[in-house]
Amino acid sequence: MSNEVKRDPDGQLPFISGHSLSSVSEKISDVTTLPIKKMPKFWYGGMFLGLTVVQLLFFAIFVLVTRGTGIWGLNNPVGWGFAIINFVWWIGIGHAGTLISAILFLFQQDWRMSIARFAEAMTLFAVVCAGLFPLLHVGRPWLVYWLFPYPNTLGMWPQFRSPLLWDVFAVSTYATVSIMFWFTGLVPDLATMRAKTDLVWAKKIYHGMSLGWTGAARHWHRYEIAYLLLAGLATPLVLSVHSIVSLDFAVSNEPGWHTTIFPPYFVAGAIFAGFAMVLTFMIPVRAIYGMKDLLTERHMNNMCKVMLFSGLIVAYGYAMEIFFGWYSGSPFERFMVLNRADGPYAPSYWALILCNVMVPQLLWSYKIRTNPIMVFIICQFISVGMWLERFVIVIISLHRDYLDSSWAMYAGTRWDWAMYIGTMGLFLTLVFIFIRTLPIVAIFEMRELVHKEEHKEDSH
Amino acid sequence: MNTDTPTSFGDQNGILDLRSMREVMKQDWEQRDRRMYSSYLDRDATQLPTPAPSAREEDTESGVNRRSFMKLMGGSAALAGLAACTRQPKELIVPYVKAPEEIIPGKPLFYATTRMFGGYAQGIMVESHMGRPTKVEGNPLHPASLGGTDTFSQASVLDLYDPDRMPGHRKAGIPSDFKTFTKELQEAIAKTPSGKGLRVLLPHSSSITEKRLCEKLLENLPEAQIHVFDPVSAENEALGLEKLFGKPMQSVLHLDKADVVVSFDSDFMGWSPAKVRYAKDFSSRRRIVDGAERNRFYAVESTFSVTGSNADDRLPVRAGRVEGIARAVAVGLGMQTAAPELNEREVAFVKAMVSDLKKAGKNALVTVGPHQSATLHALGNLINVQLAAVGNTVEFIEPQLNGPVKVQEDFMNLVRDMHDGEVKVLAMLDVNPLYNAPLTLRFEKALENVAFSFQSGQLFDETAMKCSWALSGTHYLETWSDMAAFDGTLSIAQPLIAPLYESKSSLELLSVLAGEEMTAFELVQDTWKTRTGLADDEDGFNRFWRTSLHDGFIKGSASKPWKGLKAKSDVLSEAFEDPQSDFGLEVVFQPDARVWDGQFANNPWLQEMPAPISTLTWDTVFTISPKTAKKYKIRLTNEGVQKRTVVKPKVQIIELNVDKRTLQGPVLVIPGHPDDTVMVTLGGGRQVGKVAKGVGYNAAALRTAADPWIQQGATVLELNRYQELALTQDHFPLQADGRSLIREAGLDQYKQVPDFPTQMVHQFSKKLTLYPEWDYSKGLQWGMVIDLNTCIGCNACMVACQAENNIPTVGKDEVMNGREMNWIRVDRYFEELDNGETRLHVMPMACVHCENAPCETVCPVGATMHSSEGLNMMVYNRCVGTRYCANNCPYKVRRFNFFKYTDEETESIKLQRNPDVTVRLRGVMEKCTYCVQRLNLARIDSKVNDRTFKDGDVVTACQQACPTEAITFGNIIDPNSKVAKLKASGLNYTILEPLNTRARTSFIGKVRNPNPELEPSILKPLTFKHGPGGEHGEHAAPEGHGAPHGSEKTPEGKPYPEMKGH
Repeated sequence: MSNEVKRDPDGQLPFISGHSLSSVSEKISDVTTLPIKKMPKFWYGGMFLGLTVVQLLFFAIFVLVTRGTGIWGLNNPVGWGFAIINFVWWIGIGHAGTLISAILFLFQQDWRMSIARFAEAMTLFAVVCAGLFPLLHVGRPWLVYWLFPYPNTLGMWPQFRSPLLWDVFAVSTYATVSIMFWFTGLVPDLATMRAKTDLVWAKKIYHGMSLGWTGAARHWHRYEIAYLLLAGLATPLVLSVHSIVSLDFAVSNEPGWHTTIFPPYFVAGAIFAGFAMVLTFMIPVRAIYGMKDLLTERHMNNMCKVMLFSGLIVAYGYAMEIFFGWYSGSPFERFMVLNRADGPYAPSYWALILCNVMVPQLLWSYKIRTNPIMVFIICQFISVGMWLERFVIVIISLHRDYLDSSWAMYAGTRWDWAMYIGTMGLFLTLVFIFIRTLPIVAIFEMRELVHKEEHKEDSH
Repeated sequence: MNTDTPTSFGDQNGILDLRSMREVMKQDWEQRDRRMYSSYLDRDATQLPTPAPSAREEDTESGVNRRSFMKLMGGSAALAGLAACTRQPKELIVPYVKAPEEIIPGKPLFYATTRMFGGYAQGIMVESHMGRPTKVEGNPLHPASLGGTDTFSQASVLDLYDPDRMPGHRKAGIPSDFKTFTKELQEAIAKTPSGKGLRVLLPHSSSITEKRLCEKLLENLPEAQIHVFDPVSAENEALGLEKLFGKPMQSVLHLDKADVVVSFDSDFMGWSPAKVRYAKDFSSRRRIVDGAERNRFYAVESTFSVTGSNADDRLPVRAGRVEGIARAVAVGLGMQTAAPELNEREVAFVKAMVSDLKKAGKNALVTVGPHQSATLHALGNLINVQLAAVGNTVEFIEPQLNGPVKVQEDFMNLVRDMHDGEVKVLAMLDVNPLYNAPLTLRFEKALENVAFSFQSGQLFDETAMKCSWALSGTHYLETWSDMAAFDGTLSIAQPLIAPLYESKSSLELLSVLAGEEMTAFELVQDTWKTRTGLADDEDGFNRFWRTSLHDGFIKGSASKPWKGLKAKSDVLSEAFEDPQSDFGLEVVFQPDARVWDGQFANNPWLQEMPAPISTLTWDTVFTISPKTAKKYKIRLTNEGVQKRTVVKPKVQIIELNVDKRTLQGPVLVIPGHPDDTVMVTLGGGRQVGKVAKGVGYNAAALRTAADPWIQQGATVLELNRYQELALTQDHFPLQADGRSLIREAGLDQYKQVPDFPTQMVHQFSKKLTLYPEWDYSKGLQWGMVIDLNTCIGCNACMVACQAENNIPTVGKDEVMNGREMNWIRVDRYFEELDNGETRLHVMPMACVHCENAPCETVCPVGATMHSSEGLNMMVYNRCVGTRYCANNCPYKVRRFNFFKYTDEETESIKLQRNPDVTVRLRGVMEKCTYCVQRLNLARIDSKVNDRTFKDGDVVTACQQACPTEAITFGNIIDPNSKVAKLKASGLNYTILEPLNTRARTSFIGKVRNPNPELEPSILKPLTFKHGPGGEHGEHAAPEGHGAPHGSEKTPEGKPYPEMKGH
């Protein structure tokens, strides 16, 4: 893989290099069609880790349902804790995929092609992880279907004024459209996989899922339109989901929650976190599966730029929160800001500033943006930072609000951590199943890219 | 959650092998079946071809094979027929054949009765649902209650259903019966020549029947002796008055008449047989909104007491110094006595007290705490005499308690005799000396010398375990009795329910000792037949009896106060020795505000009730001041909360050492507690009871019988151990500015600006809302007003709410997790004054039923809704438990069932529950409902009787319990209702107005009346940071009240009171 890459005429690194149409297909589908015994140790390690950790999740859920929400560290002023932090964190992570697939598609950013599939898959898995929390964090999870507007003998609708209900709609819509979008994008590749695989049962499954795709021009035509429409549909959702999640906070009257800046600030944070997570997985995968030619430094460079930009919006958000605290004239808002910076949870606030504001400034440097190890490290900071951001918002506002008589401290218990770490296991498991069963890079899009690159060279 | 402390009754692993009622019943049935079956087999073994199943058949693995199974089934079928012919067991619970006229299923009945506390009567009304007493209320007619109650009365009903109660009598721990006991007792008594060596140990009591029985006992057995044991004995007052007037007496205070009250360590609203009545009288001079003539209250005290926290001027000093201050006051009033040297603050304080006492004259009142010396009692009352207050604000009556005056000395004599082997038979009725008696007396050792001893009580307690016999005693709601109130008013106490177990009351046991076994009913009736001398017919005695029971007391039976008392001033010439502070730490013992002397330690409601001032639950601690903590270098890791090193506060455990007596316990620092003194509370360290066991320390290790209350010269050994305390509120004074929760002003300031509470905060337009306006101008619109002037912070409302609304207790661990369930809480705020003193504010806080309720809009399933009557309602069945409502509630009054807190297993506890209130399960949110069950009941009543709703038809549980009537509830749109009138007052305000929640519960601003000499700033005119806003609404400031608006600062540049940190 160490062959010298040629730069574009405009001096940029190419998005793909050294590939022909067939080699692209081979390379990508090989990951999936490789005999199971030949899968790299990395995959086995990852799968083992994922499956192990996901047991923790199942156990934590079992204990939660049998014993009650009390196993968590929640108390009287702090009614929401890890569950909501993790929910928002996972939903945020689930933003990059659709953003990359839909918005960048609409903006005809071709570089998105090689990362889109992976990012979309991660979106779905993150939404699965996120979705667990609101379902399980309620006191009586077996009644959670009451949040859905279904015809019932009680003659009851859910309460449409509640942002939690908006959440239900926003997240379920987002999940549905994301699955459709992802699946539509998969269809041509599933047909390729159908052709590539030797296993009979796998062939049957791919055959069924590829919906009779033959690669006819008519199919391509329909596909392009469908994909464009879905991209158009998904685009507002990228913005709406996290906006609505942010309304859970913004609509309430807690100091530090009740802020108009929340929707854009949350969306920016989500993109920030989502890109960090995509890079977190992409960097090792490209190294281990030898896909540096498909997932190039230029991709990293572009994604880092997006992160830097969204990170600056987030930083602006933090600055505005402090400004509002002073400008509102409300003693409660003012206290909230001081309590963040100098209260008992100040370390988490300053760690957040370090992770989300200071460290990402390194991305101004081109050298760092194209250095996979540095980018990987920065992404870890951002992931932690974004989790801390939600911690700061959820906990620090709740633990000391209006009446000082009710102030209290909050700390996650081992079950809080078990749930959180457990969902990471679930995410890992799903990612490694995905790596094994579906092409992690869109084959047909890469071939298109190869074609374009070739064409570019011709014209040159 | 590994709770060592059970969340409520119902742990199945009873250490004392006490089984829950269900188990007992189950076993009973099983045994009966077995009995029937075996008796049949015995009788008819010869007639049955096959004997009972045994292992001789082929299939021994399961014990039964097909053939034997068929045989057994056949046999069972035959037996079933035979069983029908056997006599059925005696069942005491049967349905009514003829229903009593007054019982309507589903409707409670109320009966007046009396509860004895510290020997004195507390007048109560008990709610009974189909024969089950469920709730205790105050008796509005009884002089000790006048409708109010205290925490102990409220919680006492739970003790009736305590699953730890001894279901039957035990001989050396093994169940036995009462007949055997009486036989053995008679034999043991027969061995004592005319009762020599027979001793009876009773608690303090004012029962006339008890007195009669004791006399009868002594008549039969003249050599027997009767003693009294009371770990919270208030004998010093009687002794002090004996010193002063020549005979022991007890005082009756008239706080409603006192313009100036001076308390020398007297917690008359927390530790007094008339605490409820005194609180009511005291508050009648504080209800400024009704135009009360405001009193002024000085407290000189050695602890931070509930009473002291209500003082206008408070001087915390060591207990040993209180007498010195009192002497200085006496000197100031022109008496000749030796007074110690005072410091600057004390001099000013004494000067202020003296001038006010002089001014008030006969309308002044000096009161002394029961733990202070007899000398101080004499001195304090001598001041009363000097001021001519006797007969006006204070009166003296004959002591109402049976037994000797010098209780402690008498008890010490008993123990000495026991050690000497002179005691052969010891009867202990409702006392637990093995737990309570100072360890130095070695009571346990002494008891070993007694050949025959028995104890009666509800629990198989520390003493019962070491006695020859442990008898199951009755709860006060199970038996007849009679007693006197603080003013001598006599009552006959009637039972509400037949004894749940084979229990005997103390009177019944006394009658056995006196030689004639009678029921308590007969005993009490006999007493009163003799006493009244009325003819035993319908118009005579029966009418008297029924009237007395109905009223709950006997009209006109109050003791006549002594007239023309001559005071001796010997006390002035007594030498006074002021113990120096460098001598060491001083220890003051106090009964615990939650569990008293330990008698309520097995009551989870009280264990979980936050103690006033400290908000401590489930523990006993050593209370010290911050300065003393620093002096003794006691490390307080709870400072770390502020310094963010630990999440949960822990406190250091120390060992107190007085004369080689040691006691270990955690230290709690309370600002405002006097320096160089440590408060040690009684009531912890119980060895028995699923709830009580393991909670706190037992102060008996440090106490002595000779000096039960105050000890000098303690040393401190700091142990390198820390403990977490279950406090319901953050521990240190919190400095959060501008919240304007408590709004207060001086009396003169109030007169200048009668609506200062609303002036203090900028009033926003109430029309600023996106939601459509709801019409709240019709029908019934519920609302509440809480008067912060009269609320003393006693917590009676909390326990009342718990009893009324089936609120579960959660246990120590869950309180530490911050999950206590009380619907109403009493918020506590410390305020540090410039002069270093600490003032305490309390604010009862329950759901305020916002008209724009933030909780309602965020619930995704609509489980919390608004009623057309303005109630914020909680639909438990619909709640899925997102807890969003609790987050969005600015008052943080919603409580979540994180676990299944409600005990659904213990049978006896189920009997206590209020059938009108749903029991909540796991995962459901709950909160104050304004006692909606009572509202509905009243509404139904008014509809049935076809009349309109009257003010006062509905009383909420907290309102009913409140001894000071600080809580008013009613229809706010009825202009004639009390609550509407209060809401129209200028002092009325709601907290957190800028949120525009439009709370239905509002508060009456505090008006203080400190001596301006001590607090000059109280005379300055009020100024407001926020001028009266454009939208001042209905609270427009009256014209020309002279308060300058607009300026923000006082002349010194300090922010004005509304900006103080609370």
